[in-house]
Amino acid sequence: MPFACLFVPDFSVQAVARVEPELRDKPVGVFAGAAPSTKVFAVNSAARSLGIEVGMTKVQAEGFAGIEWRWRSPAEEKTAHAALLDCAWTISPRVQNAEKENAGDLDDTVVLDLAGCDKLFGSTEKIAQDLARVTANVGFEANVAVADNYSAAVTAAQGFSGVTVIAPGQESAHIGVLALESLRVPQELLETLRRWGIHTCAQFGALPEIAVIERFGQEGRRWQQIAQGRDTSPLIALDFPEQFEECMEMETPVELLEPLLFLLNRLLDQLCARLRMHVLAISEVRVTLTLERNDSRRKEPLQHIRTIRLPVPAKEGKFLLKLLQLDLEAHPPTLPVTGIGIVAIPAKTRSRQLGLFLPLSPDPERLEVMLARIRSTVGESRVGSPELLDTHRPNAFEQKHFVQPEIVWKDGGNEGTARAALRIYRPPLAANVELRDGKPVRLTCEGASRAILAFAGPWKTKGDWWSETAWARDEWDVEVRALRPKREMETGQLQEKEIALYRIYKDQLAKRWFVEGIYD
Amino acid sequence: MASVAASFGKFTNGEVGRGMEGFRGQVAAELQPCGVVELDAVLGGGFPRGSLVELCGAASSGRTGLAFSLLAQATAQQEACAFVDVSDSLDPASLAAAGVDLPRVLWVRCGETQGKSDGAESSGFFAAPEKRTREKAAYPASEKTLRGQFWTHPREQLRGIEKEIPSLLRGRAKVAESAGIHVVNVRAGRDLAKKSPELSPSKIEMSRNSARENYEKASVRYQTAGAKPWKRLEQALKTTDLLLHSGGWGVVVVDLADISWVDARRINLNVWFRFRRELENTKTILLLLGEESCAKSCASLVLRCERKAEHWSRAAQDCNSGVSILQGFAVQGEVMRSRKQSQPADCARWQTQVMAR
Repeated sequence: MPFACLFVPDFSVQAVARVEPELRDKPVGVFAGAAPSTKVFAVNSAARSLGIEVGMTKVQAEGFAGIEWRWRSPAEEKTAHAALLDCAWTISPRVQNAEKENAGDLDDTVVLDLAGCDKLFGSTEKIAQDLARVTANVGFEANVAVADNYSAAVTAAQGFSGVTVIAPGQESAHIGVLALESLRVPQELLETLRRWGIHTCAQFGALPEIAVIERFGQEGRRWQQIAQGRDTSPLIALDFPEQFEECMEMETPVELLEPLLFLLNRLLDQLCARLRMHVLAISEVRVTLTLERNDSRRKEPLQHIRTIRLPVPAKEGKFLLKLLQLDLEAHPPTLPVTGIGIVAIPAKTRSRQLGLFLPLSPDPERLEVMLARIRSTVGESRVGSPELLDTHRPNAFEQKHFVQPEIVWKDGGNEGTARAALRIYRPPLAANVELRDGKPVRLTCEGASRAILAFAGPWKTKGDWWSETAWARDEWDVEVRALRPKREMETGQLQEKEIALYRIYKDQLAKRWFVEGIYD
Repeated sequence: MASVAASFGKFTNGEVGRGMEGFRGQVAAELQPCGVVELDAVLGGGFPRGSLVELCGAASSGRTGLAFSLLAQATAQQEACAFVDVSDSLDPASLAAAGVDLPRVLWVRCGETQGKSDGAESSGFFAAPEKRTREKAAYPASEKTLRGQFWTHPREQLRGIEKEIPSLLRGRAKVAESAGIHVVNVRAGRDLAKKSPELSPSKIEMSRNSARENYEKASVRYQTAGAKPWKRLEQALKTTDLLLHSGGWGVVVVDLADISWVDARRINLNVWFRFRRELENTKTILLLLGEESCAKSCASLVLRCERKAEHWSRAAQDCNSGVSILQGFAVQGEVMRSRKQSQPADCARWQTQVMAR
């Protein structure tokens, strides 16, 4: 039962370079620790060749020219580790983080169980090459090793660079050439073995087992088995994540929208690439912008959070970037941005059957961008599909986010009589109505007084008497000369003889008259 | 020549000559029934798809009901529709009573936006550089084109129209605002004076003073009714442009019914021309509701609605209560302009029903 292992050397540096691709070919170092004890935490091979060593002080390290320095970011390391797990999940559903020997060890190693994968992906050599390619797509230069047991795969990945495939039964011979440091044995055990003249895994594996147990206990025996490539630790699979996250911390605060969008685009591309590996799309995106705090007395970070929910899951980063751009233009942060975090909630990609005779409908992705543009033009709460509320209260409706409904084929057409529509005045027009024998005879509104030529009513309605939204009104339909007459084409004069039909009502609670709307 | 004449004669009779079969297909437009049987019969089937249609009429003329009927037909065919509400006067209850499938209608309510206006800076942070460039260079598009400096998207040509229009009336603006007289422009005022000598500019000034009381009330009325609808018009036209550009809509209604035709006609004709071009080769109907036709030759069909008779009834037998109901009114629709060469008739009359309470 073969196992594969992905190991990312110089993990802290690669976690930074993953979101800044321009650093991948440059010497890069990572600082950690608060001043004055800031030291070099990690360097890549290019920086190491220039003489930088882990543990140097900041002052010493900055004396070397041509090196890009960054600060260690646990958040970026966490998202890099999640990306590494995603790479492993593209091949096998059984994936585990390699055990950490010390508390300070990084999450730079992932192990996956290849049982049954050969039938889907081919030989172990091909699987190892595919893993290397997939990790390169997300920005890592990872070592890949395949062996017949868990520990051998981990040791080979941490010891050999590139792709290593160990044939069954050859674990001891392959791993034996590695130095003991590649096993990451505890420092005390390592020093003791060095004093004995043991430097390689093969020499350590050749020691008598009983003697090793007597001197180092069961822990020593376990390390000897690892050096021999014989460890049979089981793999405990991790659960599939419920959300995908990318983050980035900037060295200098970003003050303009355009560079911020540039950085968001990078993170969105990474997220979309990871989700594509799982054949998933994004249903919700939450962007958290960490703002530069001017008040040094407060320690908690200041954040600007925006959430975009998509009715139809999307896979394209460009489309999401456009929505984010429109949203940030409408709701910009008030301070410069020092950090970005994007959380994507995955969903299955929508599949739909295309046909030749489908009715007209807008493209879902273009529809969302268009709705965002319209919202930025007219306002957030003024765009949507109307929905009547389940109440008798007049003008009770709300606007919901417009989503193209599913096609429901009905038999027959919509045949019915033509309806006269009511055009509502928002807000209703204040009016005065003169009554005679309980019947309206004159309407005064907007400075115009009109004799009521005909009327129908009253239609008495009331409701919600048990709550604060109680209402009670008497409605009338009246025919009067138009309150807002049209101008004639030739003379420009108002058409004072124009007749119109209005709905007026008396609010019985406020004891006031209003013109609610006009029939048209 | 004889063969050409022969083939031409065949074409006018509905038959085509060899090689012109595709041309006949381009002439015939797909029609969308509007749901009013009488009007569909007059129009030969309905409203032409892929075109701009205008419904004109005075208040209470039945044009909004006809627009709702068209939306009901389109949504019954599972098509998505949009309603650009310039004056925020749509009644969802009336829409539902007309048979419209509400979840398939996108309702855009134009109005004065609260807080920031378009392009406002947010304390100096996160304003896109290109937006700042547009604000600084707010010149009429034609000027910049002539100078060859930069080109503005037609969608942006109406930006800031609410600031530009008063400058056109600068000579008369003072009179208009104080007296509520709606002078279209200086030239129209002179034309008006030529036609009616008693309405010379000086006499307009004098008559303003004497009619100040009535016109002050009118100015109050127009201010509350949106005497300056430029912001809403700008939003409506920009929204319409976005809707047509994205495509996939069965019917897009632009409701200018509460906007005076005087203001509506200030919309540049190239806006309608651009809309018409976007509609070509699509199945979308752009329906304009207004007092008068403002798209002129850009409209493929112009209908004028007029209310003919109301139908009041007494619902109760008890004469003492006197309760009565407005049941509806008759509407006459007249075809003012149509690109269709022949149609059965020019007028149709139908009866509308008021929504039952």
